[in-house]
Amino acid sequence: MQSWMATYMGREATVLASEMYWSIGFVGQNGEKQILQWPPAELKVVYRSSDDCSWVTHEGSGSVLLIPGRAAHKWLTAWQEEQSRPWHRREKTRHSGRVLLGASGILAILFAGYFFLAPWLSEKMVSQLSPSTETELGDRLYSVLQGGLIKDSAATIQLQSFVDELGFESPYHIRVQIANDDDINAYAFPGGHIVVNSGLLKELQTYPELAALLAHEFIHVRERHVVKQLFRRWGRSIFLSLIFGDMGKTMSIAAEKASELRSLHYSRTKEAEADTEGLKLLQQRQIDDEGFVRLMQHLKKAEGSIRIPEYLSSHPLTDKRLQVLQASVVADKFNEDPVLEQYFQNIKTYYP
Amino acid sequence: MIMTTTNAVEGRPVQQYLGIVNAQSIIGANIFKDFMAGLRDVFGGRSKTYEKVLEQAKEDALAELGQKAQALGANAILGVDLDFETIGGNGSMLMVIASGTAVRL
Repeated sequence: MQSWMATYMGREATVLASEMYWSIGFVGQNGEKQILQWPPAELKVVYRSSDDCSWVTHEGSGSVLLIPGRAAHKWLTAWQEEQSRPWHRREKTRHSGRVLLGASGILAILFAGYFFLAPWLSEKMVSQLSPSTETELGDRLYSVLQGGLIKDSAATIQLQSFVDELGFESPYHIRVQIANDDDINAYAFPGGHIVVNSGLLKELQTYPELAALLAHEFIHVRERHVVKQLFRRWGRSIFLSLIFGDMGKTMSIAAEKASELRSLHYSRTKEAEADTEGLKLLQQRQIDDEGFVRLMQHLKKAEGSIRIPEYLSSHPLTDKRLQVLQASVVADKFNEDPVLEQYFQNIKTYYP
Repeated sequence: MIMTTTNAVEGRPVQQYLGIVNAQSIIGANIFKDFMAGLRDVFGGRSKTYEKVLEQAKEDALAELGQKAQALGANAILGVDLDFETIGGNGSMLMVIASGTAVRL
């Protein structure tokens, strides 16, 4: 906004000029305060060097404002020139365009950093992590969780023997724990802890099904899926903190929710890998790989009528998993393993 | 309109005191300006984004001050004072308070 002293109808006036309107204030003949508002679009200005004044005429009323100096003439002339340009050539439009471009650029960089750079860097860090450090991390995570588990020690000994007999090779020492929990679930920690719920054990009918389950979880451990996923999440959280800090908490939360969906996609990919590689382990060990198919059928039965859209689920849909497995099974190339069968039957005495 | 931080205008005595006027302008830098300023905080140097925001807030406050004085019939504001504060949860908003004495010279 600009302000000038002026003369209006022979009286001293004050002028406050903005792009919306010019406000002219003066005291009238009877001493009353008056304020006129003139849109700049209705004004014409001429500079007269004879009296060094800018003569501003209001087209509507024909009134004239005299403002000493060239400043008012310059201001109004520049404003009128700007208004006469097409909208896309005006300085405001160009400025908005530059701001929009800059904002889009920043958003694109942030997007790339959040969804690609941070997870990629995090995975690179995992590759530098030694198995012993990973095991230590997994042990700590497991010790935090195990306080909430109701353990079955006797059956666990049998399950550990089953795992040892399977003899899957890895740099990690596989330690299993049965939790008294009706949820049909099993999960792995970095470094080799695997927890199997009693609810799932009750569903299994043959030892190849148990072998399939353990092979699946073993692949998660061997391929470091869990620690990779943890590092990806931590990497993204650190990235968000660096960018947003304390401000924009809403945006951080929104971005974090989107990140969870992205992580789910990551775990769906890894779950599919665990199925495929787990099946190969069974085949190498010459265990009936139909066990994997039967395991999926148990899971499918347990899902019942609850249908979660795939993009919300951490696992590929069971039907899809079944299709993939059935296409890969070589059912007739296996041997019976009486040792595994015995361990399995011992476990089943606890979970008929 | 004459706006000055001084208590008088040379050669123009005050004919009438019309009252104290004040105005405030509160302006927020948006998230992108904050981000750019954050980078400047890391690398050092002047933050043009925040300087522009501050300049805009000051201009808005002075414009409002002038309008209030004009409505009182003043042709000058003496003793103009500008105060700057940050407000909001984490100080992300800028407040400029302008005050002065509206007079007729």
